[in-house]
Amino acid sequence: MRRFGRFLVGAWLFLAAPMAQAQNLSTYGTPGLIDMPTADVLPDGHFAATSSVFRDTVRNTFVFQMLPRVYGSFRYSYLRDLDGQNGSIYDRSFDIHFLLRKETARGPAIGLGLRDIGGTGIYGSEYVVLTKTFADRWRVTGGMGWGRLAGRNSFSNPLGAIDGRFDTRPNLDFGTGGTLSTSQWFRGPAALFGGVEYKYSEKLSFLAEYSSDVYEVEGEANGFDADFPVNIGVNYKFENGVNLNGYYMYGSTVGFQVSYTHDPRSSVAPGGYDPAAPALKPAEQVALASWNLPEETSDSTGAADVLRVRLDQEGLRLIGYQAGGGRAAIEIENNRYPSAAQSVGRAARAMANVLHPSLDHFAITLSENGVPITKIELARSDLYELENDLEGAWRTLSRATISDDSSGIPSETVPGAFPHFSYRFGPYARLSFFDPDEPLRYELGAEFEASYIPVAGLTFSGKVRQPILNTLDDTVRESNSILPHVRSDWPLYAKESNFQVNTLTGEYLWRPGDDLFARVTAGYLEEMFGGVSAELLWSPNESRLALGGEINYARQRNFDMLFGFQDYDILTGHASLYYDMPGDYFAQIDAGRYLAGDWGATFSLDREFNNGFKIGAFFTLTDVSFEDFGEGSFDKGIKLEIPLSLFNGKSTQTKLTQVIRPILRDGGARLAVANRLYGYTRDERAGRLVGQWGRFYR
Amino acid sequence: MSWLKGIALGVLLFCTGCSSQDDVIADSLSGIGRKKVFSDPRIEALQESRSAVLQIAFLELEASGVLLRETSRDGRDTWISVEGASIILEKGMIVGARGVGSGMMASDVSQSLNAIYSGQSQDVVRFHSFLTENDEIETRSYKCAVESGGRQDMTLVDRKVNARVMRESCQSLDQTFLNIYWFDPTTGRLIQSRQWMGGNVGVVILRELAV
Repeated sequence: MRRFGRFLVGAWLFLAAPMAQAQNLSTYGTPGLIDMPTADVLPDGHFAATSSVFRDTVRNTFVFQMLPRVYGSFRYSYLRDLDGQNGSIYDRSFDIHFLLRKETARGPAIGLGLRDIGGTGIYGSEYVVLTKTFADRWRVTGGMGWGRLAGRNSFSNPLGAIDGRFDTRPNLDFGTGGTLSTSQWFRGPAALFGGVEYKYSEKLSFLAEYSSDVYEVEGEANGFDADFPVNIGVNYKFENGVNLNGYYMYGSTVGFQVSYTHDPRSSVAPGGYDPAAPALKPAEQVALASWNLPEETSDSTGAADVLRVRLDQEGLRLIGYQAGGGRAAIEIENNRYPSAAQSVGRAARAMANVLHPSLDHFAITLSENGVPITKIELARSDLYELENDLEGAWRTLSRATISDDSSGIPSETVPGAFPHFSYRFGPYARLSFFDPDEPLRYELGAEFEASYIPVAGLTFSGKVRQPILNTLDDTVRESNSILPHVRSDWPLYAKESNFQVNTLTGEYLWRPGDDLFARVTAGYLEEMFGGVSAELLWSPNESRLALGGEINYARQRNFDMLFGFQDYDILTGHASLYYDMPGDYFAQIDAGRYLAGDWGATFSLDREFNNGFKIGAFFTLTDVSFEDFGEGSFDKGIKLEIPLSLFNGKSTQTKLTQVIRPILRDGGARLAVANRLYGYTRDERAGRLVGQWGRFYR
Repeated sequence: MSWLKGIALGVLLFCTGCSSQDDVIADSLSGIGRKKVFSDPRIEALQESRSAVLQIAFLELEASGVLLRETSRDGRDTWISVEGASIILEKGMIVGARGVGSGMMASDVSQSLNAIYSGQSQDVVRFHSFLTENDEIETRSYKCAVESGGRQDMTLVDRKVNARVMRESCQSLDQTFLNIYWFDPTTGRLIQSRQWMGGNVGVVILRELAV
């Protein structure tokens, strides 16, 4: 009950935090009034999810404030009876909005935005908009729109004065979709729109707007009457950060909306609810511990055994131990903490509470499956001095040395460190979005994973799944791809499999030299391909840049996801560049040959918050033409990675990850081999280690 | 093949400890309806050694419990709860906490300590560093007015005392809090206090039960 109470209070705070600055979101799920945009943006880094519904229209929008002045959004809409022949349609659209000028005491905020920049164009529109606050409570907005936002009382495009081409908006050559409809932007007639928000209180505000949208397509298709140009609405902000909106729109319909804004920098409670690490005991007490008494030598296995048990209680696995000459070195694997710095801090304190006080110099090597990654060296006396120091974490960091460790400590120093066996049995969920017949398909079931590590670096592992509830295999879509069906046959895998062998591999990881990591993996590498994969990574601790190369021979697996193979095989591989940019940003480029034999590159940009919450976007361009690629023109998507610990306050390395692609096709498809080296080592390298050092004494 | 589904579902529902390592998802699923028996060797050892006990009540959270003294070093005492959360005190004043959701990592409260122990009314500054929800350290300073709160009768376990009361009102740009300390006038010991522990947790009341 007590924990629950804390959870509730924590949740309240973390939901409430962004509320003070919360912007009203429109039916498009972006800062705005009712249907019209305002110049506002969300606080930097925040995202919001919105569902709005009114006459024959449902809009579900995810908006993310990527940069302080730029937000992007993805919308998935249901439009009933919009298409006369095919009935209802599901529409995907992307928007982008730039805050050109911030509001000042004397001047308005100015925004410029584009709605539906790459979809079917049904919401295709552009705008320039000004918003200004008056007397604290009134926010007045006026703007000019093009495209869909120029439906009412439109006039000839003022931009036509610059260039005559702005006068007409050409028909959209939709093609296979998925590309930017640049030929239309800011072209054709323009119209004015505007409105006002009145904040009655912190929680309640009233909205009114004059809309320049006449819902022409909807009117023709299903008789939506939007002749009356004025919309009114009310917005109520709950204390938990949820917003409810109600509207009376176009004199003919009512609308409802629920939205939720979240700051990824927040969590259920700062530092979480994990048990505290044992506090440092006075050195003289440690000296008197039974395992440190004179009959044992200071580097006796007695102390090592006690240390192994203490580390184990902290979720850390000891795989190497050396002591002597005033120095103690350990090699550990962190199986619990999302932050490597926290595992280092806990290991250091466990060492200080166990090892003989004559050992003053500590070295802690972080490793994964027996492969050493990074070494942290610190003085035991600094721990005593700084454990409760006001600036303890940073002063400890400034006195510590962080370096690459390519040799580690021989695992023979800890009896029983290898072979090591681990396993996990639990539930899994797999989701598929945007099937026009059923926008959300899922597969839920039980999963068993096991790994056996006979010696450091060598891992035999496998994952099998048994679906229990499944709608993935109901899909009736058949691939019409003219490329080799390397991904687009996914429905066949879902249909023809029952018990699934997802992966079954032998993998060897090692350190060929300083700052270098290497991997060879063979077996059933992923659900659709098996083969051999080899990778080399150069990743200096002190560098923001890392480079890697990978080459694979892959053969397509049978649809039953058991042990057989099909005829299709391919030599595929990529050269990769990783760049940890200043701030929260991370860029990656992978260039090479993809599974369908196409050559090209994938560009990814992530925003990774210090607590591990990650939102990213990617796209892949290859020598496959947009036409040959098919619907969507090229591969692209967004990905989310959310540490579970942010929500339950308990240390776990489990993350909720989801890649959302508008459509999965065969061009630009990359082999999904596990444990690619950069991701495998990133959390233990200096960049992330230093970033999360605040958790050292947690 | 439906027997396979049945087995998979059955094991999912009834599996406890089906992983060799931490597994939060499985823990939370398999833990439904079961009360977890807590046995931490750290706590058991302290209970056996009849360590000093501190009573704690979280005012805003309406929760309470007891803490056992685990370690004393360098003028600071670390007290832990049965759940393994800890509070670090310096001469009875909260200087840190772990696992209670406050994020208070360390503090410099030397000026406050001097003032309340000496009984002098004066303005002091205290400093706290907090771990934020984004895993960064934020050091904040608070300006506090320490003043006498007169005398107050209190009943302890074995006797009654006319406690000397000190009040400390603190504020920063965006936070204010009030700490109150009750001293035993005969021994000079801090016997009870009401102290702020950070924005997320608010105020706690601490009372030493046995020494």
